[in-house]
Amino acid sequence: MSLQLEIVTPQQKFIEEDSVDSVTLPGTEGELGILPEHIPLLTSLASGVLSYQTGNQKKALAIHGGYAQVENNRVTVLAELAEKAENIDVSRAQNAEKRARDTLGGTFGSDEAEQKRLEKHEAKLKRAIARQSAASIK
Amino acid sequence: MSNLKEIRKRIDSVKTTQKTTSAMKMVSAAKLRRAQDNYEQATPYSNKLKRVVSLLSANFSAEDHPLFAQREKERVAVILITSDRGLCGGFNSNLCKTLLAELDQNKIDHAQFTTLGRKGQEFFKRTNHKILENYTGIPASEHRATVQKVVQEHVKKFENNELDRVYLAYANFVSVLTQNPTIETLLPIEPSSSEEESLDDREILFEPPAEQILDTLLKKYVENRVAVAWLNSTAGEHGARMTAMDSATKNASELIEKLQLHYNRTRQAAITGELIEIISGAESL
Repeated sequence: MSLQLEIVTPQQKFIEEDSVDSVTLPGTEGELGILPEHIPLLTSLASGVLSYQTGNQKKALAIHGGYAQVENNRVTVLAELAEKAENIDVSRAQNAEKRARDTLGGTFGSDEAEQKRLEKHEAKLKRAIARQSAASIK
Repeated sequence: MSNLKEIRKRIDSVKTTQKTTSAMKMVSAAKLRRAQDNYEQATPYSNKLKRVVSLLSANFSAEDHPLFAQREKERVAVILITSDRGLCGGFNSNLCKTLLAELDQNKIDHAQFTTLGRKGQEFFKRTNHKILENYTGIPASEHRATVQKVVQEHVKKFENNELDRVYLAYANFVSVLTQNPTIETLLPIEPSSSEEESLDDREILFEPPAEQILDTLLKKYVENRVAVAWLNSTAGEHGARMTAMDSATKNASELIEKLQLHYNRTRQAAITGELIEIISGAESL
């Protein structure tokens, strides 16, 4: 028994694998492990690491937001953005994390524009962290 | 008829035009390949998204989300996607005329237009309809942000009950030779009429609960439809221009051939005329 995994982004079909043993998804409600014969599922995704295992080989990607759907041993991931671990520039992600942390250390007002700015920087921080952890798995 | 110098000038000018049209054809062919590629790359995502939406909306009825709300078609908005530049045959005018006829048929007089592309704006500013906003010369890198902005505005107005219906009009890229004017209802979202066949008959688990996924998913879906339509229309534009320029180049060749023949005849007639003059001159001596 194995899973089919398909990852698509608005720009392209990112990955298509026919026999994967397990997939780990970064759901908004927490990490989800998908094994063959999983019940049908639809979940939204956060920024984080998506990893999948084929035999002894484990691969990881950083993905940022989107949805995942599981049915009939087929995992479809609709990611807003996806990056393969080997293509991630770790030092850039580290710098981005530092910048985001510095900005978030400052003060934010309570009006709408400021809250939007806060959200934006929080998202940046999450992306930077997701990139680094995906890169560390490879 | 016309003298030799004039014909020669005419031939030269047609040749210059032909150079331009054949260069434009080459450029469009290259751009078409890229645009078509972009469109094809984007289709899997959009198909999957559509499927997820239909799986999800099967659990809901029309009252469950403001974007499903069916109302009388009183206040109508149209998002019209055309090209910025002309010289692409009937690509823009076919779409605009079809849209205008369709609106007339539905007795919609004062639709609010948001035009993506200059040609649509130029056409509809001469009609009764109102152009709310026009986006011209947006580079491909900013398409996504523009679509996001436009769709968010429309969704907000629709949710606040300021709009009853939003149409999306674009030329659907069927092949390089054919682009079909397409008018779709963007809002309200039709809850999937033909229920998608689920491959699994077990009940679907939603995480977080379906109500929470629904809102963001529907907005993403609407946005994606516009974005993909734009990619589709861009491919169509280049296809249409390529075809138009190809036939223009062919027409120019034909014209040059005709003019050349005419030129040769006129030249020969002039020589004959001169010869007769010389001979008759010699004879009279």
